[in-house]
Amino acid sequence: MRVSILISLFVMENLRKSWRHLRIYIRFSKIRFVDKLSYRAHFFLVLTEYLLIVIVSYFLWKAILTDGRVIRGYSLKDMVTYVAIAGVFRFFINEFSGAISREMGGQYRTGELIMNLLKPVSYQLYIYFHAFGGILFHSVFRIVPVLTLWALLVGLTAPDHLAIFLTSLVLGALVHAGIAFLVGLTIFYVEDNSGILHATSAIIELLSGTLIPLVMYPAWLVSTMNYLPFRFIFYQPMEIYLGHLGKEAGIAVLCAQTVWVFALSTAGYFLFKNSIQKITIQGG
Amino acid sequence: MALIEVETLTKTFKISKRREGLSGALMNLVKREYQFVQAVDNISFHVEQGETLGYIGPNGAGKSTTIKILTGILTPTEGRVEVNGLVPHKQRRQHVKNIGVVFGQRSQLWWDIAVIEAFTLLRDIYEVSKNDFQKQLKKFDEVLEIGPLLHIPVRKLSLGQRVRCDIAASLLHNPPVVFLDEPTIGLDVAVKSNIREFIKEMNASLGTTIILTTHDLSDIEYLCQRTLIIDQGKIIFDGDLEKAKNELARKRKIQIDLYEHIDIDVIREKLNIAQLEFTKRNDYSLTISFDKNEISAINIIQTILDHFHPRDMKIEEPTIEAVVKEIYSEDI
Amino acid sequence: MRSLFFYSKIYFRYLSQYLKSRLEYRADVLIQIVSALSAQIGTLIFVLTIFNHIPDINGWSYGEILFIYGFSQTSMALFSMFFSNLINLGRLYILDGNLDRVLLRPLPPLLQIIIERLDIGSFSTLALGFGALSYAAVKLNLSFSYHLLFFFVVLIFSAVLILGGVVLILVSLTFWVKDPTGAIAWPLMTIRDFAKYPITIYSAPLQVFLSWILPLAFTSFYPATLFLERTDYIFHVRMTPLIALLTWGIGLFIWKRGLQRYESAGS
Repeated sequence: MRVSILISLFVMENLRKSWRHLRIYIRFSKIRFVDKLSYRAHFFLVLTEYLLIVIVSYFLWKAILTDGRVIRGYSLKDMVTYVAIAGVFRFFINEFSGAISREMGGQYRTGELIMNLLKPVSYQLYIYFHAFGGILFHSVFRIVPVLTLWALLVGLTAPDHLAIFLTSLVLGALVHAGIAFLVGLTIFYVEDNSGILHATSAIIELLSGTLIPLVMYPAWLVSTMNYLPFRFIFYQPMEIYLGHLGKEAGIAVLCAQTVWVFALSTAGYFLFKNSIQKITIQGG
Repeated sequence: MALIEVETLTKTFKISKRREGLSGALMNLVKREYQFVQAVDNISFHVEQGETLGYIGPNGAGKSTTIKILTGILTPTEGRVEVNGLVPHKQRRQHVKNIGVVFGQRSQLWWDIAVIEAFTLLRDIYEVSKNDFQKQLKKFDEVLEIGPLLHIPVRKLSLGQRVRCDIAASLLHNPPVVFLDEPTIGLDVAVKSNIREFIKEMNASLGTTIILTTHDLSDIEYLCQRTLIIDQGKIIFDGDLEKAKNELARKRKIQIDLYEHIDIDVIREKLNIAQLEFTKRNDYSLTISFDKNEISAINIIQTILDHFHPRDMKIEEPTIEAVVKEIYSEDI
Repeated sequence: MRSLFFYSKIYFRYLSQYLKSRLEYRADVLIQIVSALSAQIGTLIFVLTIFNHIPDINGWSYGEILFIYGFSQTSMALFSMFFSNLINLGRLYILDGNLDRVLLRPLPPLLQIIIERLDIGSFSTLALGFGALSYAAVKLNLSFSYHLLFFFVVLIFSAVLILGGVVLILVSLTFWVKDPTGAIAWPLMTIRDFAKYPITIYSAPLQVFLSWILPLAFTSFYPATLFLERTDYIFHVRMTPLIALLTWGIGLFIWKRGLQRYESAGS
């Protein structure tokens, strides 16, 4: 009896501690969230911009898949949903590139990165949560309104396994954050990494499936992509959404995603440690 | 007609107010609140050819706004401005050929190219002949010592080097009117005096009209016969600051250190003058304040020498900073 | 005449200065070229992939789609080459106060801004666009004459002017809408995607919008039809230079009005 009380106290204490930690990180998210709200004209401009992307892709696919054409299992009905979600998903791509990779570059140049190392928080988690604030912002103020509008005006199919889809979306975001962090680290090694950032964004757009469902690419490219993490960012969650995968295959995707999240974040952790040492040795 | 004429000039800015916090940010998204700020409020002044005019005031008082209107960058909300018979914001391109402008805080040179390249580009823009250009370069090198800097990219120059090059660049076309906005800010003493010397010499030999804004009042003391002080968009002083110093700051202080223990009552008795203020600093030192127009410092010193054993005596002149402060406080 | 000579001299002086300063950072130039390409190549990959599966889009063949894409890409690349700095006008010049420096020089401010920067990356996208255009022309076996070459030059020139004019209009709005990001013209770079495809795929209201309100269809689709020997749009082809003049006229008007509202940075 006593032991179990002790154990539960111990667990409670640790939960309290990690909650306190989490609250600190959530504050980083909140800062980013409020920050994003402060640019009014920009807010509406970007919203319009992304709505327009969805509209272009919609008409394009409508013309491509006319007369009941189906490409590799994708019908017009699938694509109407696919392009809408892919369009708003670009917010995520930009946010991760901006709030993680580019932010790290900016902080590196201004010296803010070093200052952040002095704080008793993990830099990697800090920068992840920084981006999560933006992701939350986009979800609430952009993705939900755009998709609601789309559902009313054009139509949107309901997700097949909602729970599995949402989980895989979150895991996909973590894969994405892991990649963005690794890309951000290049600032330690080159003077200007904006080209690398641009190229990465383009690669992610192509290989995560936001531009085109991956299955439509030539076979050799499809099989190559099986070994890369990019498809787990968007394409695989969408396959679950559209019901192209069954429940079991969906859960297999979740497992694979978890492995990638772990692998990428661990790689980020060690490479960051290494890169930081590079600064201290240079005394910069 | 004066070279620069400013009549009832006003410039109003519209500024949006930000609300704080998350709910504030949400509110901002929907509706903004604005307020109007009069950066320059109905000011008038004239500047004659060949004058060196100091233009001072606290941060945000409207100095830069005035300069930017005079140089044609900003369009005034109301009022009339003429420089050399041209309206700056309307006849801008003609006007800027007649003026040289230096912003001490912001270079006007191209960041990535060597100084000499920037100079030749400016030579082409202002259509300065090759002959005049060489002459100017030589002159600048003599006083500003820019010769060794010519082949260095601007971004690699130190602040002092950069400002010297900026001054040279803005004067390549030999303009009759020159605006210097904080030219000596952040510079070390040697460079500062170098630049002052150059400005003084330019004014004397070419009769160039100079408008100088600065935070460093010693610049003003050294260079300007006339000074405008602006505060909250209004001109609160226009005249010779040196004279103002004599008129406004009539208070003098003498600090006296004695070998013996000080007893103020004894000293007061010996001096036997009313209107004196005594402040004891410590047991061996005191300060006497008086109006210099009514009492001569010599009297006081003589009396002290006759009756006590002074170790040291110091007369304190009011600083120009104190004078400016007094002008501000009178304004309020 | 004299001023034309003067301005071209100044233009080349600025250009050579700019190139000199850029070439100091060789790696940068390479990165710019790579990133410009990677941003533009997506559409090409899209078109190539899709035509692996289908024979036509809305009655337009692979070659025709490629030609329209090539025309759009070419005009866009030339736009970036000459006017790319216009996009920065909002943030770098109006909001950061670099316009001060520009206004202090006895040259037209817009000219100075345009010639202060040259997008080196646009050389690669120009090659991409022109490559697609030539490949499509050969594949479609399009006829060639000096007449057509002349029209081609006029139409490309007009398309570049339209893009420049639209950007100028949007960017000049920064004088009123003081958005601190100064990104008012950025969405245009996305909206431009509309112009990469035949306008016939869009719904009627969108077609009207893209022709007469935001005239992007005049920067690619309409002019391209002349060479594709589709005669339905000859009216639009003729209108193209007029639209170019009109957009620049409006752009200059708004710019001039905005300049009077310029507040400069700080106080």
